Amino acid sequence: MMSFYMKTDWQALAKAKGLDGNERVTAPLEALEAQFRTLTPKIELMTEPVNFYVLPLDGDRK
Amino acid sequence: MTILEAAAALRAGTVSSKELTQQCLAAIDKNNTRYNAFLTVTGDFALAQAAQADIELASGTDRGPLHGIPIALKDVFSTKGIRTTCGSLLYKDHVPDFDCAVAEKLYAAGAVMVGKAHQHEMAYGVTSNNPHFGPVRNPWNVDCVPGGSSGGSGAAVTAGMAFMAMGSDTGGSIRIPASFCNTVGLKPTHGRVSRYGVLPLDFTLDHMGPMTRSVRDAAVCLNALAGRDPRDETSSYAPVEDFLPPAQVSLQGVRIGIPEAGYYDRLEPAVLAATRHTIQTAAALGARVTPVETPSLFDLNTIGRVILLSEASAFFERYTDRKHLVGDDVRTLWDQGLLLSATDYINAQRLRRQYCEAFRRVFDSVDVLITPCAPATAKRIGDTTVTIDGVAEDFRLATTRFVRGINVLGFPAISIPCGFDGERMPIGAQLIAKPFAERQLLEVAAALEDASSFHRELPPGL
Repeated sequence: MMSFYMKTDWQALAKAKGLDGNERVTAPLEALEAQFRTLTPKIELMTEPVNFYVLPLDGDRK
Repeated sequence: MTILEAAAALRAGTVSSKELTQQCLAAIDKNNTRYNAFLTVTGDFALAQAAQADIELASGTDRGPLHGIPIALKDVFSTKGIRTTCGSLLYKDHVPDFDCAVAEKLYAAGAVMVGKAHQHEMAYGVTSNNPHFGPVRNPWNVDCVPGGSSGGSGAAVTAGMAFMAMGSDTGGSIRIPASFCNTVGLKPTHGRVSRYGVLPLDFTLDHMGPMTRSVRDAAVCLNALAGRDPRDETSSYAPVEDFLPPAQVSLQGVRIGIPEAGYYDRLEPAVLAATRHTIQTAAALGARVTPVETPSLFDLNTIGRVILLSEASAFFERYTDRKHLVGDDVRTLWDQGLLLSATDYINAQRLRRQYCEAFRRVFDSVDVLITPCAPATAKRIGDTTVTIDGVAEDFRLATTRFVRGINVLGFPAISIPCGFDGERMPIGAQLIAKPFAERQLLEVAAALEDASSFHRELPPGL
């Protein structure tokens, strides 16, 4: 599933954040964003972020 | 010699801890200039620990198989009074005033720490080509990388400088150098080994684990390392069992899954052949080998990269005023993380939940998955791309292709030696199990190791 998304202007964003924004930085982000936008439509409505960085993977706080 | 062999020799009185330690220190003295595996050598500290171990063993105090065994720690592990650089100029003079949980546990088990192993800067890369402290070199070919980020740990173990070296693994940083250096590398389940006192790269992807010369050595190390630590909020309450596989392991009835979703695409021919051979060995030993459908590996890698870039840059923010001290490759990743949105990070963590649940279901029908560890063997220091099947690929992304996603899941995985390519560079096979199933993972790995001799092979001249 591929949804419409607004491509980020990474170079403009980098400039606005005071970063260099050369192609070594921005080109991989363009590719990553394109891949990631194919996934986000798959997120089911009630899904919450994974929490095993707060709770252990076994989910048992005792 | 393995840890278990050395432990037997110590108890038989045919060698002392002092002698084992002197042998490792001599190997470091002889070859560290060549391999650059250690950033700090702690000779006096180690010899004092060894002397104590010898006194205890002679008086009948036996702390277990690591008692008196020389080991090393990657330089992300905080060590009291001993420089801990993280391979970075940001920490070049950093001397912690406490020991990390891993060091505490290894010392309590009687291990002898010979030094701090070199690594990729900030543990943020796969080559260990460190711009500040020089590249770590692969003992199998010193013109090649040892993998990373725990490259010094891999080189140290394969070069006889330590019986075990601890690594950290955020996207393959234990398993990749294990594969490239012909050692065993175990990434336990997230939460199994305390992260307390380890300089973080990524809060939710970091795992700590041993790199050793045999699967059973990795198991006895996990016995010492595993367990709840209230100082690490992610530390698990899961019961700690004896992880050491028995002398004879049967694979009869064990269900081995071969994932179909991209794990066997675009491999160097030698890697494909070695991995197939491993699978055939499992089948010959009685395992039920079946193809299995898994969620997309590439989706997992994408999710993992969003999380890694975001969390690492969040950690690095405190060093913004010293960014000029960071090497080009790490600074590039740091900037990338600063540009990703909070929305993307949160959605990556939501996707992570869905993929974790989907992957858990895979283990309803199989016990262990077998995959290649890396699609290619170690390449030359300075190479930034690798070409496989005529396709040029970024070396970092290629090398992490089969391992990064497992950090996203937090599941346990191990790399074991499974062959060599035509240039005699090592190849590793990756085994993956469900959360907290390290015992079964290690048993399958031990059975495969027992049926081969790859882990006994040594680099030229050693």
